[in-house]
Amino acid sequence: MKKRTALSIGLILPSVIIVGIFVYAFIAWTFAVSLTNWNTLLPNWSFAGLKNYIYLFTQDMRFHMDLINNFIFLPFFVLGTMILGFFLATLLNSGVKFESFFRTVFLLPMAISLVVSGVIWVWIYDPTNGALASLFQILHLPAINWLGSMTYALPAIIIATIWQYTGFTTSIYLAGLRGIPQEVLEAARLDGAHGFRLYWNIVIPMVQSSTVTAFVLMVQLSLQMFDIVWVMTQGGPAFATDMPAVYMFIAGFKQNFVARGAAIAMIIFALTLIVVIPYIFTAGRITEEEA
Amino acid sequence: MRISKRIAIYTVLIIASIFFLFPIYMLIVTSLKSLQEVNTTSSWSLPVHIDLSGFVTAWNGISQGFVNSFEFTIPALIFSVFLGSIGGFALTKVKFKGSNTVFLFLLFGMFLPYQVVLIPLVKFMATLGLYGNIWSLIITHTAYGIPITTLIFRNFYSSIPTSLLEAGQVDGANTLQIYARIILPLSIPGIVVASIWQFTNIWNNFLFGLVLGSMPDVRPVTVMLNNLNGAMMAQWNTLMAGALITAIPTLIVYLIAGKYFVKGLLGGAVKG
Amino acid sequence: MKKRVILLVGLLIGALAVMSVAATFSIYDWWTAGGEKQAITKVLDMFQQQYPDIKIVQNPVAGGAGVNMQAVIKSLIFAGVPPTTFQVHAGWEMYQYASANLLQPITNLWQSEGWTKVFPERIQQLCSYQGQFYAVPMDVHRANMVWYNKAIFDKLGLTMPTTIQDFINMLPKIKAAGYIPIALGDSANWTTAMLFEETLLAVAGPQKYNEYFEGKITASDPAVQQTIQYFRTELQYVNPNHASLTWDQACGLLVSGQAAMTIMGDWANGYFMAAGWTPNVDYGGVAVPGTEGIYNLVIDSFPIPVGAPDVQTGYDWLKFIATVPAQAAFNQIKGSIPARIDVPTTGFNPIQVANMEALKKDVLTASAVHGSEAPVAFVTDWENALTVIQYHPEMSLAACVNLLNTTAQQDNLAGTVAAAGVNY
Repeated sequence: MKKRTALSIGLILPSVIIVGIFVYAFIAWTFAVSLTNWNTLLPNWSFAGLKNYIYLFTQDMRFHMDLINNFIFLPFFVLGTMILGFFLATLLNSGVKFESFFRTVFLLPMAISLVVSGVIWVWIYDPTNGALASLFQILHLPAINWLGSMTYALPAIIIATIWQYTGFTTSIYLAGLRGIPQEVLEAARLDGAHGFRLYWNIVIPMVQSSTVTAFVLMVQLSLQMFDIVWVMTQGGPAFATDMPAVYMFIAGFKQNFVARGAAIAMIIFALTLIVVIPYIFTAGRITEEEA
Repeated sequence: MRISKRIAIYTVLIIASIFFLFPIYMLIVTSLKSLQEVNTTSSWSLPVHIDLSGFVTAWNGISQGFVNSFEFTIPALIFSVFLGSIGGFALTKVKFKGSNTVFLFLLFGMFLPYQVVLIPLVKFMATLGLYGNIWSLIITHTAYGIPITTLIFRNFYSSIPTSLLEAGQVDGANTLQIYARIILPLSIPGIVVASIWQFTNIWNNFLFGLVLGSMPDVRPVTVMLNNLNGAMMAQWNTLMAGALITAIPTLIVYLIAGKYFVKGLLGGAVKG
Repeated sequence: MKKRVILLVGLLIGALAVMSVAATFSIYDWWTAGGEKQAITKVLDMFQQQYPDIKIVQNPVAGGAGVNMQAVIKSLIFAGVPPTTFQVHAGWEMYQYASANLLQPITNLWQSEGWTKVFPERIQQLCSYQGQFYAVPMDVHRANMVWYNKAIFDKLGLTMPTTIQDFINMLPKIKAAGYIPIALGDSANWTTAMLFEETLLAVAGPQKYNEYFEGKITASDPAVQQTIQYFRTELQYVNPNHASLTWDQACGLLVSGQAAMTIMGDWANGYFMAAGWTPNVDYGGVAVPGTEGIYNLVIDSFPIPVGAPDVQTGYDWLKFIATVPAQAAFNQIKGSIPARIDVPTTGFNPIQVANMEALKKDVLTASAVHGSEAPVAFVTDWENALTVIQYHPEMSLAACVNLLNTTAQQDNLAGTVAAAGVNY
């Protein structure tokens, strides 16, 4: 048995070492930087305590706007991808023809780099030649300058990101739906559960693990949203779409506020942990149950 | 099913398909236009004259990156999938004291915002003397792929009954033989899911390529694509053609292996 | 078998030897498309011809208005593996590296090559920091330019005014005639900031303009307040889709006959020529009204970082780009003008020629938007503050002033500039 343990550790050790360096050591480094006065180009390791964090929370208007934007973005993006994903998965699971065609189509955006899709969506939203502008013209609706508007820029980005990630949630839900034994559904139908009630009482609880997975991944994505915003608006107009990850990049690499950037990164990470830690412990519990 | 309901379902599916396909349609039509036509016609109209100059310019600009991206994506994919597979195997079938803690330790890495590690990453690679070397990209993408591949394989192997392994042990095979003879052949769906996931993520990654791809002979295609988009000039047809060329490998992977992706998910590869 | 191994080892050693003979020259720039790409390619070709033994590794990094490249450069420097040279705007963008002792002083080179005689004094200041030279200028752009569609001006019987007040007064007339008075493409917000910057230069004059960016006067100063008001008026006369356009797409509105003017640096000149327009026939380009006699500089320059590999190739490069042929070849293609004042005007277009003459006699200021005039951290926040003003027309003048002042205070503008001890 000892030999087996040794072997097991041997199999997992490379991963542990690599992750230990690339994740833990690097985070520790960044955390250390966030506690310094390194707000110059050249490293300055003098200890600053929580100064950078305090500045961000009490004085920094841009960071406040970023948090507000992120907390508006998050529920729309997370619920949007999850509800749409569940809905489409349900349709795909209802025995339609060409199911694999539709599924492939829904998944295609996942194959495209965020840098590319950002560029395409800028075109769609173009107020003169853009596709959406043409559509509005045909429908005799007023022209809207989507990405240039304080009101519509954030929703426009939310739609683009929902486009990118809904295929993924659809797949997760489809897997979950396929995992429900037919007998359970039959039994429920015999008990008189139909339509909404069937879904609410039987189906949704049975795809709970899909829901949890989708939720955690989508929340993580929305807290760390960077590439597509960077390409589409760079946080503009007037911070309407600015996100903490965008500010972090600017602060750290343009303004030389390295410690402030590190502090923003740690705050993003801490927010992520709020949803991730319960998830990770659930994942751990499942293993124990199986063991 | 009633016909009206059926029609409703198909209508919704078709509308959804248009929503998902439309941007890709825009990508294609714009890439086939001449620069002049791009600037004068509406963005969704079909090209009046098919013009491939965008593709020529784009290919000249990014072909080297296209090769580079394959050179680090494939090894990083293989390493991360391999490490995920043996790790997942160790965590489920050769459990040891503290294996759950180890799993949580690895899983944590999945939720890391990549911007957090940029500077230490570059410093680390420079210390190893790997900066500007293709191995810096291979190692980095392998490292950040380990959490997700381990998760995929751990969940996947959880669904393989332990009785199969016990049968192997009765036959006198040792653990590694069990892995090679029993587990590995059963792992194909898990390998497919992990590979699709890793291929897409590594191929499409921009940030690591930006800071690690400092030399032209290692610079990824995404960074070269971004360079088509001049600092001050935008040539949309070239950009879209470049975007299309960049997306072709991942699109092919999805078109061919997309159904295995969902099948793999069905096999429990990504669950809670 | 043994023989083979020996052969292989021999080959490897041979290969290493060959590699070490060829000195490499690695250069980072953000010139990745259009005329600017052709210009750098041309100059690198000329450099290669002159130094055939050097292995040139060009590293263009586009996007994010130069931020992507800065991220790369800073990563390289943090990691201790700097390139041989990299593109940087002279002035504060360069000072941030020089003040951290990350650049090699090249004062000896400036003196031995006699550059102090051929580059204007203000440009020399922008290339030096606390008495030492650190960079060599490759080109000079002029930020304070207004470009106009001649056909529209002729049709409406307009001539370009000479004061900013007259310029503002002209806007409603153009709008009434059905044209966009000022084409703006601010999908990246530096273009909006340029509108403010050039207006400030016109209202306040070079002296106060410098004082504002030194933090010696604040936005409460009447000249700055007046600028805010003009700026907000100008914004009422821009194309409604400005936020989704880039600066060159905005120039396209002039070419397509929809817009009468745009305020943009002289890189717009390259765009109009590429669009098939003839200077002074189809379009005109002059100093922004009220800034006649002032040349607001944007300078691309190259330094040598401390710890750069193959430093000698770096020096060769600096010497090369400062030569008359290199400056002429590069700038004729790019649309900017040489930083040297002794380059013959043949081969340049009339607007470039006019600017080459102006560089010799004008008062020289530097553009804040392009990182020359003020600390980079402040400029970033200041540009953002201007977009807040842009998108909140309901803000009172006092609130705008307050916002700009808060920005300057939070980034400690006055203190940073005073501590750096640089010349204005």
